[in-house]
Amino acid sequence: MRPKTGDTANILFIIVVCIVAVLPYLIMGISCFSTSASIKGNLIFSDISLSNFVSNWDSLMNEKYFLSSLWNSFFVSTLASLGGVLVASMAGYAYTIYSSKKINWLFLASFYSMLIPTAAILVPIFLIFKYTNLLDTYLALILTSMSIPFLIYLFKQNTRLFPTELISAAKIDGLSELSIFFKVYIPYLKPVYIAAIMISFFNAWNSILIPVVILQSQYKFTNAIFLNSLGSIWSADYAVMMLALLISTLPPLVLFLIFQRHIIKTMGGIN
Amino acid sequence: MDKHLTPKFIFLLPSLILIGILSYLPLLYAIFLSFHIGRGKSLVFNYFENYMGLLSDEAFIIAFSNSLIFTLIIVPCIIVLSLVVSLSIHKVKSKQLQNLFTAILFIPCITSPVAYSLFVKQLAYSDGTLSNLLRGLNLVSSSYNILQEVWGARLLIAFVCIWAWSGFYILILSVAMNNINPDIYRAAKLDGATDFIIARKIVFPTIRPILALITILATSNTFQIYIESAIITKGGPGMATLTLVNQLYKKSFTYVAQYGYSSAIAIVIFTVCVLVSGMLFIAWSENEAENR
Amino acid sequence: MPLVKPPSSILIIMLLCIATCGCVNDSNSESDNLVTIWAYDSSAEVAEKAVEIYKRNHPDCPYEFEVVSLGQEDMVEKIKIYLTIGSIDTLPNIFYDEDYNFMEYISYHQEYFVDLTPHISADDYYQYKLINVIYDDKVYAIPYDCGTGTLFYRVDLIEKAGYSEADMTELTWDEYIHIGQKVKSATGVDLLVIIPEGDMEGRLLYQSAGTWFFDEEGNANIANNPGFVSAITTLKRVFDSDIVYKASSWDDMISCIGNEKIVSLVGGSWWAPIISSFEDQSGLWRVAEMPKMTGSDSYSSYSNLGGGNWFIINKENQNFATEFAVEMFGNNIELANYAAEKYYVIPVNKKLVEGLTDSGTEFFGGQKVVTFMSETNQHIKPVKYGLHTYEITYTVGGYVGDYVNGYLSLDAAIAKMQTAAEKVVSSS
Repeated sequence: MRPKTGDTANILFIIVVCIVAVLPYLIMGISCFSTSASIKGNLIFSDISLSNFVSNWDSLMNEKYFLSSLWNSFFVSTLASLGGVLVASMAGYAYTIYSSKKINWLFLASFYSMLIPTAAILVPIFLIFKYTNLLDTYLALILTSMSIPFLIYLFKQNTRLFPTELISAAKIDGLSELSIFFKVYIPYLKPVYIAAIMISFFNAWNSILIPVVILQSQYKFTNAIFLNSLGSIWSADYAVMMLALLISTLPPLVLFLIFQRHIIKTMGGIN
Repeated sequence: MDKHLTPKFIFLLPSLILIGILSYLPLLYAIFLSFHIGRGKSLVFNYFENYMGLLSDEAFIIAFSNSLIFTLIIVPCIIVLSLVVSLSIHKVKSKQLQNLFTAILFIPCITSPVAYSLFVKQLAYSDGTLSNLLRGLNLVSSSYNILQEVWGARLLIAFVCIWAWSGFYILILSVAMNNINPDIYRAAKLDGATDFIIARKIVFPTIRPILALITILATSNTFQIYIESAIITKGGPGMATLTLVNQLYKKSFTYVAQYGYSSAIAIVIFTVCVLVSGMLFIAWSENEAENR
Repeated sequence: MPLVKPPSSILIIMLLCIATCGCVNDSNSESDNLVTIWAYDSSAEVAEKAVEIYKRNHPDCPYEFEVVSLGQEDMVEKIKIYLTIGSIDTLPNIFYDEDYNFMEYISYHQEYFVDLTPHISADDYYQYKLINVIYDDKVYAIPYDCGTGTLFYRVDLIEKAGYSEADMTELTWDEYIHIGQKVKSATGVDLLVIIPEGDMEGRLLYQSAGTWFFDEEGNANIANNPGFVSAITTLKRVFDSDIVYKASSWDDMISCIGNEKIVSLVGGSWWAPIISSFEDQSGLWRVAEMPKMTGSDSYSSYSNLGGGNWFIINKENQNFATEFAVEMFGNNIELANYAAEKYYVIPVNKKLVEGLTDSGTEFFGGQKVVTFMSETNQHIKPVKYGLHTYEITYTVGGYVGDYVNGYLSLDAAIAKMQTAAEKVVSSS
């Protein structure tokens, strides 16, 4: 079929929107090859060179807690996503398979907890961790970085695609309910699990409000907290800042690009 | 058979415990705090005075109206933008291209709010790239400072939020549109319908529930803007971009702590979100009933 | 292929182990003879130097030190949180913070702070610092430095309009504005940079008139306060003369110094190290007293903005921490000289002030800046800051910004500020 002008205009429009979406990354990418002085006051950065990048890199690596914050973010986000997905998928599975009026109420209660603003429960959560002596621990951070209500909804919706005949067949084979979950359900929904782990990972990586209140030791700071503290300390070096931001946003970006097919397919299944 | 060991409960218990302790328990505690004044051991029951106090506090009223302004600007823009873009993507013939575009547009959603706020803050400095651009295009005078202008700062934050959140809604809408049975399209085309009519009569009704969901999510998110305004403008200029959550945070952690007062703000935010969601949900259900 | 291979129970146990390992490691990190010090910006560097000097003077000292440098806002938030919930083990032994927070820390959490009255000799300190470290007739912090109100200016730029150093001393604001207008027409550069709602200049002016947002009892003191009204009307005159570079943030102010967008700056003495970080402007800057308001004999050219004190927490090792802090921050001349020379930290202890050596500062053209600033100590009017400084500054600052930008009339602004101040007091 001949491409109509409407189609071309359409694609051009989308391309423009896409460029706007990734523009910050492009700017960050260029800025870290430049110097702070040439960024200020100039629209086109005049001073682009590899040596600038190297010196920016060195300055950044000398920041005492930058690398440790990256490692902490990885550690916390991985555990939070694995743990959260496990707990939420069990719940989502149960809400669909064992559906009943009472169970549905429980689901609604879980789901609507998303409406509770995080800032509202900041202080109470802090007090709870204080009284259980879990302040400034990775455990507290991991627990609060799991985005369980949303994941429960995700799994509940996606469980509809899970054929119940498989459950009946497994029961005939004598498997217990738990075994069915781990040996039949999880492998079947592997793409959903991958997507859920990724989404959960992103949420944990970017989570800032509660972590900044819970964590006290600088060596435990996650990347988000580290960046936030950069914002409150004077930092006049624009180029190093851009490099820091770029590196900080790369891990989720890379993971997303690798697994994007799964993620998109699963998120779409929310309908 | 011991009821407590049934698989149902094993599956549900961990999540219920976590949600109970990390969401509902703190909420109840916040409600409790909002009826008290003072702190620690010297809590004094204060009836509704914290809430009454909010009504006469200009900072709260400004914060509330700012959150409202942001909601009124951002939510319609996001919905319209997401609709338009997802319709455009839907028109693209190649499935692979569709997926590619959707993926690219989702990238802002996985970017950390702290990161993109710091990025925009740097751009918006008076000698930053954005200001240079505006000056280079001769749109503003040489002493223009976008962060010092009331509406400049607000629109900047609104734009940042729209940039960051649209990808998610575009994704949901795109997939919803793709779920429409292609036979219906063929039938409509055979009947000679234009794209526009197809959009109106086939696509819209199908995605209406999704639109309701998106509106609820977007409203809830916008009402809780914090990081963007805290980092980019710190609530400035004056109190022009001070949002409710900003005020809550300040009253809890930055100023002399007044947990009762800030908990009252928290409950206000919670109530508004619940009410809006409820209203939209009811409106959608009525629509559904009408359409049957 | 299944994503999750190991049986569920093992996986869950693994997760719990890893998580609790995190916990266990934490509790082993505090050793018994560790003294932690929290500070920000240059005071952290000074603390490091203090540790070094102390260890040199006391080689057998069995204690270990840890100096943690945080952003000021972060540090204050953390300290407030930990004080509120009484989490003593997460608090540092010693920390540095500005005068404005003293009242909040001590009046709500008196029992967590060490009473320093036996260690501090009141006569050694200037009154304006003393009244902000005394509560319940006891001294609860070691007064350390001051942020004395200073006029920093570019001598080369004022010379282009025909002025000299001699013209810049003992100015009134109107004279200063006049100079600014002439310099701007000669050079095109704005006179000074202000964040309209930051109220930094405002606070300098209020104290220069011996007044504050609140009175001695802590009641709102804005309406019927001639000093306050004079301050904000002065600011408005400055803005109306079209010689102000409006900044929106801290970083903005710093970059316009670097980009040479301003001729001068009125601020606390802690601007000195920031300005001198722009080495290519060495020799071009000078200091003078800040301009003075007219209208009353009680208005002076001297004020204080954001000086700080050292607090000691009532926890383990407090006796040693007190000994260390008093010896180093209260009495050590070597440290005081180091801090003054490198970071322009101006001591507020009369003995330390006398012990300062000053051979002139190259950046400021050989001017004896440290001596000049430390001599202002005796003129600064004592003002009790009390509670709520951050909140009232933010709120009033917003209205000051509106007023100087022309959105509010003077009476409306004063009325709103008074209401806001009363509200802040009544809701706590």
